Amino acid sequence: MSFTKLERSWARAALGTMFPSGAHPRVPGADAIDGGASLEDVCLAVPARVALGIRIAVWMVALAPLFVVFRLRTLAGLETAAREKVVLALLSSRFYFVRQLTLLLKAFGALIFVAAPGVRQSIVGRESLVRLGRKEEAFHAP
Amino acid sequence: MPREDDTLPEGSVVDGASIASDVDGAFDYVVIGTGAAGAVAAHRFAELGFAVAMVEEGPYVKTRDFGPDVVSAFRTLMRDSGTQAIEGRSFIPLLQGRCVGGSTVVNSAIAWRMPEDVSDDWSERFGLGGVVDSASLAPHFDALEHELHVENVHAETHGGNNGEFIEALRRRGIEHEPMRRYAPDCEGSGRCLQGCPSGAKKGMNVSYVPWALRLGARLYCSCRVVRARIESGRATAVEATAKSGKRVLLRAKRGVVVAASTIQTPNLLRRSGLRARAIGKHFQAHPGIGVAGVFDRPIRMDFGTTQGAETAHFRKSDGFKVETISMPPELLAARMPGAGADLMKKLGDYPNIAVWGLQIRSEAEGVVKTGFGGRDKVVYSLGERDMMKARKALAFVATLMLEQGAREIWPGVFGLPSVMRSVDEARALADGPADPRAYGFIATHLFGAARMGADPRASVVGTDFQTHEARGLYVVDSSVFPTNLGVNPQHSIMAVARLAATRIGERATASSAA
Repeated sequence: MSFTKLERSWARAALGTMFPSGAHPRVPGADAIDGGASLEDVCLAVPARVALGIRIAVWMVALAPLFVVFRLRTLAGLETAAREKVVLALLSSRFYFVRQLTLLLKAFGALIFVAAPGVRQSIVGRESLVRLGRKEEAFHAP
Repeated sequence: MPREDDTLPEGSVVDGASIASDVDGAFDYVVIGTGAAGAVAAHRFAELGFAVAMVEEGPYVKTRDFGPDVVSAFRTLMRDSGTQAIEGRSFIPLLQGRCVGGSTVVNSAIAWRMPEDVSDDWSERFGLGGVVDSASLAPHFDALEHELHVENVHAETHGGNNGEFIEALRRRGIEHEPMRRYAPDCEGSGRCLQGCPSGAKKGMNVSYVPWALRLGARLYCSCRVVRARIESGRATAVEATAKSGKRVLLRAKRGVVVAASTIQTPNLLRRSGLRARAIGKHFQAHPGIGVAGVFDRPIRMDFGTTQGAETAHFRKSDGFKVETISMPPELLAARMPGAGADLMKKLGDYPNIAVWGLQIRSEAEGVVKTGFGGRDKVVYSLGERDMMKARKALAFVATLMLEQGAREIWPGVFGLPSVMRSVDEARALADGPADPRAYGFIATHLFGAARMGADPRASVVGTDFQTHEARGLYVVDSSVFPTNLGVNPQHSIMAVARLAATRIGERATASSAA
C-alpha cells in the first residue's frame, strides 16, 4: 500500500535526521534525496510484514516527540538538535521493540541514502581501484 | 574473455519469467535448488550420465549484471530482499541467496573441510560412521578443491582489513590462517556480498550450474516449487509455478532431490505430504557479530578480499571462530552507533574503519515452521552457554582491535558504552549482558531441520539420503546435518551433496544393470 503524503514527509524527516546535510564536509546528507518516496519504493519490494514494520517505525518516530521530549509536535516540526535527541532516545530505548523498529528504519535509511548518486563515492573517498584496473599494492604490515 | 555464465548451451535455461505456456518435461532426476548442494548434486548426476533438471526459485543473474549497489543486489539476489529474520527471544537477521547459485553468489566462498571432531561426533551420537565421515568425504573434498581451484587468499589482495587482522594475531602469538577460498583469480573488489563482478569467485552460478548445463542438464529458473508429487509412496515429479504464472511439471523417473536449504527444505517436505515428527526440528546456526573500529591510518575496506583471514584458535576450547568481514558503507552505516551529525562523522571515517567478526558454535536448537500465509518461519533463541561464548568472543575481538591501534571500537551492545577506547573497557565485554536482545547478531550458516539418522522417529532422512516416508525423495543439503560445524559450511555442504549424488546415482545404475 502506498504511503500517504503525510507519511512520506514523516519518512523524509526521519531519514534527514539520521543522515543530516551539512554535518560532514565530504558526505552529503539525506536531505538531498526524496527519502519518503524511496522508502515507499522499498516497502513495495519487501514482504508485507517488513513493510508494515517500516510503516509503524515511520509513525513511531514521527510521533515520538510527544513521549520523548513532551512536545506536541511531529519530528518534522522540531529543530535539528531536538530531532536528533528524539531519534537517539528511540535507538537506545529500554523497550526492545522500540529500538528494533528504529533500527529497522535506520537500516533501510542507510541503504537508500548510500545508494543515492555520489554518496557512496563520497564515503569511500575514491573510485574503486579494482574498477580502475589497478590492483592495490600488497599490504605489508610493519 | 567470455565468462562461464555468458556461454551457456542453447536452450539449456528455461526462464520462468518469460515462458508463455505450461511445461511438462521428463528427466531421471529433478534437483530442487541450485545452491552449494543442488548445483553440485545436479552436476554429479549429469557426470554419471543421467538426464537432470534443476529448478530454482530465483532468477539467473549474470556476472555482467552485478553492480556495487547493495539495495539492487539484495532485491535481485536475496530472499525477501535480505529482510528475513529468525524469531525467538530476539530477532536475528538472516541472509539467504535466492537466485541461481543460491547463497554461494553472495557469500565469501570459504573452503573449510568438515572438522574431524564433528564427523567423529556424528559417528558416535548419530550412527553416521561410514555414511558421512572424514574418510568417505575425503575424495569428494579432493575433487571439489581440484575442480574449483581452491587456494589461499593471495597477499596482494589482502587489503587493509585482512592485513591488520593478521598483524594483530601475529603480535598476540595466535596462529592464523589465510582463508582457503574458491576464488583463485580474486581481484579484491571487496564485493563478495553483492555478487562477484569479475566472476573470479566460483559461486555455483559460474561453476557447477553452467558445467552441468554443458553436460546436458536443463535449468528452470524463476520457478517456485510447490511440492514434490508423491504417488503410491514414491516421488514421481516436481510441481512448480513459473514467475509468469504458468505451471511447470517435471517428471522424475528415478528421483526427486531436494536441496532447497535448511529453511525451505522442511516446509517443502511438508507441502509434499510428509508428516514425520522430526521435520523442522533441530535447526542450528552460527550466530555472528561484527565489531567495527576506527584507525588513524587507512584501512580501505573497498579493496581486498571481503573475508580473507581468520583464526580457529578458539574453536574447540571456547566454541568460537574469528574472521574478517569487509562491509560496504550501506551495511556498516546501520551498524554504526548513533544518528545525526555524529553518525555522519563516523560515515566520513569509512576509509579508516575495519570490521572483524566472530561466529559462535551455538548449542541452541530451533524449529522451522510454516508461518502465516505459508511463509517460512524459524523460531530460535540463544541459550546461556551460547551467550557466554559470544561475550568472550566479543571481548577478544574488541581487545584485539584496540591493541592493533584502533582509536575507538563500536561493540554494539545495548546497555554498555557505544564507543570504547581502552582495552580495559573492551575486556569488560566478557561480563556484558546475558540477554541476546542486547546484541546485534546475524545468522548466515544454517543446519538441521531434516536430520539424517537410522531411526524414523528421530530423523527425516535415512542414511541413504532418502526420506523415511517416500521412496525416491532425497534430501542432500545441510538440513540433513545433525549438528552445526563451528566452521564455514559451504565446502562440507558441497562434499556431502557430491557424496550423496554419487551414491544415489551409482545405486541406480547398479540396480538398472541387475
